[in-house]
Parts: sequence; C-alpha cells; structure tokens
Amino acid sequence: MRPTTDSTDGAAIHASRVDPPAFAVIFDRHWPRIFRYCVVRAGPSGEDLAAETFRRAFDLRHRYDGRDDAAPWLLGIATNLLREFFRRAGRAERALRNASAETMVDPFDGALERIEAQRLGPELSLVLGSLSAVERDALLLHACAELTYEEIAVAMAVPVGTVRSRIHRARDRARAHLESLEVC
Amino acid sequence: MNTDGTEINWIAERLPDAPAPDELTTARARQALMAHLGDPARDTDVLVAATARQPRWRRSLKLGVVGASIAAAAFIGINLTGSSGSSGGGGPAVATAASIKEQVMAVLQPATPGSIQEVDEIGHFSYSDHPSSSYEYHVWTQLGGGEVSRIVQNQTGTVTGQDETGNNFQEVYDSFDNTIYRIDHGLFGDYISGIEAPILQQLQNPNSVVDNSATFDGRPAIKITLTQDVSDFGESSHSTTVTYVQPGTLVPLESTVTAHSFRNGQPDESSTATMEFPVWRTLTGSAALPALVSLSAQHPSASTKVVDQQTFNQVDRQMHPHG
Repeated sequence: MRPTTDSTDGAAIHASRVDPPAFAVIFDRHWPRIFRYCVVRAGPSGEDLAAETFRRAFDLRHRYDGRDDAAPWLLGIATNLLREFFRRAGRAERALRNASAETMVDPFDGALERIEAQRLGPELSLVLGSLSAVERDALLLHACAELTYEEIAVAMAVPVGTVRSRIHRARDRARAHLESLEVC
Repeated sequence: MNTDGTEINWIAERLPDAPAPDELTTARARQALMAHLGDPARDTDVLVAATARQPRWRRSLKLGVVGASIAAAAFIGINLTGSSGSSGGGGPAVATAASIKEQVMAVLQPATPGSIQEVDEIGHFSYSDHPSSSYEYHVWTQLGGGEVSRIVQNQTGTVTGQDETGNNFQEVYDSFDNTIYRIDHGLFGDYISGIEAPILQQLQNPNSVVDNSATFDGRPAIKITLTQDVSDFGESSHSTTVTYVQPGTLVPLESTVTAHSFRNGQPDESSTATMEFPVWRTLTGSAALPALVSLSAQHPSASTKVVDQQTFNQVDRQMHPHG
C-alpha cells in the first residue's frame, strides 16, 4: 500500500523498500527545502546537488532509522554532497594551476574553497573561512536549513555535544569578526 | 533562516538568496528521481498517467515535453485514484453505448497473433503557465507471443529517440556511436502496453459517455467523453477526455484531455493535451514484418551492448536530455 499524505516519512521510506515509488512522497515533502539549502550554498549547481540528494537518499533508504521527519537525514546527505562538490571543484582548480603536481593529497582539504567563498561573499567567507568544513556545515545547517542542534546531530551523525561545540566555535568566530567591525 | 543570537542572525542575513524551486525545476528533479526509482507508472504525463501499465515510450514522451509535467500534475490524482468522478459533459448516451465501447476496444486490441499495430501519433500540449510543445511518434507494436514495441520519436522534424521494448528487455539506439544499448529484465518490462492504453482506460470507465452521432472535422464520428473530478494531496482537478472514433473502422482519430487544477479552491493551472492519430492500422500476414519492431533490424550495422541499469539510464538520459 502506498503511503498517504499523512503517513510519516519513516513509514514512507520503509514502504519504499519494497515499493520504490513510495519514495516519491519524500521528494514531494522535502524538495523545496533541500533545493533552497543546496542553492544557497552552491548557487546554480545546487539544483543538481539537490536532485542527487534524493537519488542518494533512495539508494540509502535501507539505512534510515525510521524517524518521523526525514529532513535532517536528507540535509545531512545534501551536506555531504555539497562538501564533495566543493572539494572536487577545488581540486580541479588546483590541478589546473599545477598540472605537474604528483601528489593527490589535498593540503587545502577542509578549507573554504574558492567557489564556496564566491558564493558566500567576502564578509561571510572571512568568518566561515576560518572554520573547518564540519564546523561550517554545522553552522549552516543551523543558520540556513534551520535545524536544531539535535537535528544537526542526526544530519551529521555525531553526538549533540559535538554539534554544540562546533556551532559554539563558529559563533565565537563570528562574534570576533563582528566586534572587529564594532557591530556589537 | 535561523536568527537566534546576534552572530547567527548576522550570518543568516548575509547568506545568498535562493528562490523557491520553480515548477519546471521541480518537475525535472522529480522525473529524474522517478526514473531512478524505475517506475514510470508515477509519471505525470496527462493521459498515460491514467493507466497503470506505462509503456516505455510514453516516458520518453513526457521527458521530451518536460514542461508538461507540472501542468499535468493536475492529473496526478487521476493516476493515483482512478475514476472517482461523475459522468457528464459530451453528447447523449445511446442505447448501444456499451456495445460500441466493446467494439472499439476490440479494434484497439487485435487478437490476431503476430499482427502488428502501426500508429502515428501527433501530440500537442498547451499549458496555462508553460510553453506549448509538440511531438510525433511512430509506433509499431507486435501482439501475441511476447509483446514488443518499437518507437521512433520526432520533435521539430528530427528523430530524437529510437527505442524498443519487450516484456523483459529494453533497448535504445544511439546514432552517435551506432550502438544499441540493451538491458535485460529491465525495470520497465512489466509496464509495456500499447499506445491504445489511455483510450482503453477511458472506454473501460463506466462513466464514459458515447455519442454516435457526433462530427469530427465535418465528418460523422463517434464521440466518447469522460469527465472526472478528483481530490487528492490537498489539491483537486477536473478533467474532460474526449476521443473521436471513425465509424466503420472504429479506429481512433483524436483524443483530447482538458484539465483544470485547483488549490485551496482557487483555479491553479490548466492544460490541454491533444493526440491526433493520422495512422492507426493493424498489419497482418506478410505485411506484419518482424523487422518493423526490431531496432537491430532497422540498424543492421549497429553493435549491441548489454549494459546494467545504471549505464542504460545514463545512455537513456543522453538520448532524452530533457529528462
């Protein structure tokens, strides 16, 4: 039986394990939010990343933990795809700059990639660029995707305490920047 | 945006703007997902959505007219809920309505094993909020002994797709590398049906009304009308399907679906899909050449590659880039 509009995400995803089209309900419910989150972070490329989020989620549906609301889970997948996207773009850019480089080790891994910095603008880049990738992700899941700390923990598959510390650090950075600007 | 705390507020305010996804973007992503899920039955094509057995080429149709999908979303309810509407519209029901329906259905499903049904279909889609689109299909379907169909899709005079679908396989021809890509036991295998499926569904609906004294292009015709009202997913839609059939031969001449959707009781979108059938005939005996339904026979110099689902999907998307 296909999930109805009032069934939980958990029920729909569970149903999709034997009835794949049931997963369409998840798309219909969460597409606008996932789309917006991806486009905010990646610009026009975000559309493809948002679409890929649902395909990836479908492939991973057997791992879903059955929660009523799949938004944190989907945003976590989207965040991972965004991180991959920025990392790939950065590597490609550096490879072009230095075609003779033999090592594939990326010394800038985790740093704010240029494409992301361009998207965020100089002010935000200045603040967020000093954070690690996971700290930045946690902060943006909170500020942009409006997830609670508990939901971010689900999205990033880390303890809530880790989320708190990551966002605390991000807020400290932002506060320091604001103070330097004498905003507060 | 979250705005708890000065710092978070400051960050949220400086994040780039992102508009809500428009309908076309949503349709594109949804269709890509549904293709990934491997269930064309969830497609939003206007007429085909009404049938549970979705032919492979119908998916191509919808992919080719991606702009249609959102307007056609008004019809999703029809797809999911079947007939819940009331009869009405059209001309007067006649005493022989049931027998006329049965006779037309018999013509649409020729019983002769090995015969090939040849149909040319010209479709026009128009929408209240999307550009119109058109397409042409040339379809040959062999019935009996394992149904198999070959479809050539034209848009703006150019062949844009060539597919063959059997009960347990699916093929697509790529002229760029002169290769037929094949997947066995494809996900779409169970959904094969003929081009007649939407009309059959209309005929099988007890609420469809037959008027055997209508005219079409100034000539006598049989008019079959089905009106449906559906509410689902918080939206409602009203649609009217009118099919004209040629008296005597009882082959379809044209089928049109007009639909209006409503959201919160207010008019939302409207769309019209018209399918003309300049050719609809059944080839039997020596005229029913097996080559007509064979991609490899049509492209004897092409190589055939059996690929996995993922590879097939990639090729398929290249051949139908709007999908």
